[in-house]
Amino acid sequence: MEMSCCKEFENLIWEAAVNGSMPPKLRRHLGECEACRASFDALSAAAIGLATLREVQCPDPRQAVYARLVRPQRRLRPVLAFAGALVACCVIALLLFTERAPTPTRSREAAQTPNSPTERMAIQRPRDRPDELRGAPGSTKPHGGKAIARRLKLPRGKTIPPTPAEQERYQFHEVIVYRDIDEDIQPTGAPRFDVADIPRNGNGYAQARLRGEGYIPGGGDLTIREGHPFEEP
Amino acid sequence: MSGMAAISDNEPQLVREAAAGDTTAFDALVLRHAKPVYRLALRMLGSREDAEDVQQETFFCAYRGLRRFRGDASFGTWVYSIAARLCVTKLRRAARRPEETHAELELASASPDGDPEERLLAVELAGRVQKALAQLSPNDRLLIVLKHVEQLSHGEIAAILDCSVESSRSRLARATRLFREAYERM
Repeated sequence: MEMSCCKEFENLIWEAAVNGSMPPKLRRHLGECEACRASFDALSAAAIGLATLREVQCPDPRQAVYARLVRPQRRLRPVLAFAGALVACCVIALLLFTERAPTPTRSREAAQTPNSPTERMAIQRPRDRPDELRGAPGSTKPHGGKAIARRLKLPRGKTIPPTPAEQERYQFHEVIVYRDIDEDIQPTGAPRFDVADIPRNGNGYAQARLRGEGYIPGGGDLTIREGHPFEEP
Repeated sequence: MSGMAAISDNEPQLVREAAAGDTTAFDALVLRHAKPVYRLALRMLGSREDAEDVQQETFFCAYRGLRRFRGDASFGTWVYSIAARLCVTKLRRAARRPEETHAELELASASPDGDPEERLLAVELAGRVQKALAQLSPNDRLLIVLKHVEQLSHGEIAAILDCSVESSRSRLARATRLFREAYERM
């Protein structure tokens, strides 16, 4: 389409096409300028075309609107699902971390220089320990206030050697193993795995004294706690 | 509409009743404004399905927001503004142009009576106009549709766009120029 060369009439032509108002100045110009007349005709058609766009067949939205009002917000579902998944992931990660993360392994020198008074007492040799921290001779009753030294998820039949720090620390000390009583703690045979006593407490856990490395045939959770002094046989 | 006989024609009253939970009053409001809202959405989006979605979403939002409706503008203007916002958002998200054929289809099905030759010309014209509209940005398209399809006043357009009448005029002048250029390029 040929563009109008008369810039000053552009707006007037559009107004005239849309509103039908034809100023005398524009009327005279359209009589003289063929390009503007063509533009006016085209834009008049456009105005008619715009007006014809009013013709529509409208659907009744009421049923759909009420249906949406009675059902829960769809937008919230993915948000809630995402939040739930996030929380679940955090919980799982936390559980895995607390179960698998070994006690920070310290060097031999560091292990020999305990930080807290409790730790200092824990690595003392049994005979050096004060009487109030020592269990009754022959008893496996753990001393109160024990800190979890290590918690392991033992795969079936796999040997879990103590860390170097634990070997050092537990060479002269007792370690009490708490585990589900459904599975017996078995010695590996040769290794230094003392499970002579497995008394069961009221909480459904068994205790065993552990020294060195060993394994639990059925697998399971193994929590090593610092226990009361071990009476050397 | 027979059930509407007992319904007040007073729109503010209908709005108050609808806000109080009267679904019959809300029905009356929907029936009154469903067509302009659908038409605006159809001309903005160019797709019947999208227009229906926007129409439903508009009245859904309106129902949920009735208690917040202050009545500064008319209910119709408020509903228009919701629909306009939804259309512009949808267009920006989809970053697409209206489908060209829908204007003709809609026009052909709207009034099948009349002289077939005139109908053909009208359909062709509508298609060309819709194509020109498709060349505009969502905001410019909205202005053209509100002014030349919905034939609203500058005051009403300003209320829908939440701007001054002067701003509405200047923006419309610009949109009109762009539309005219797009149409002449067709």
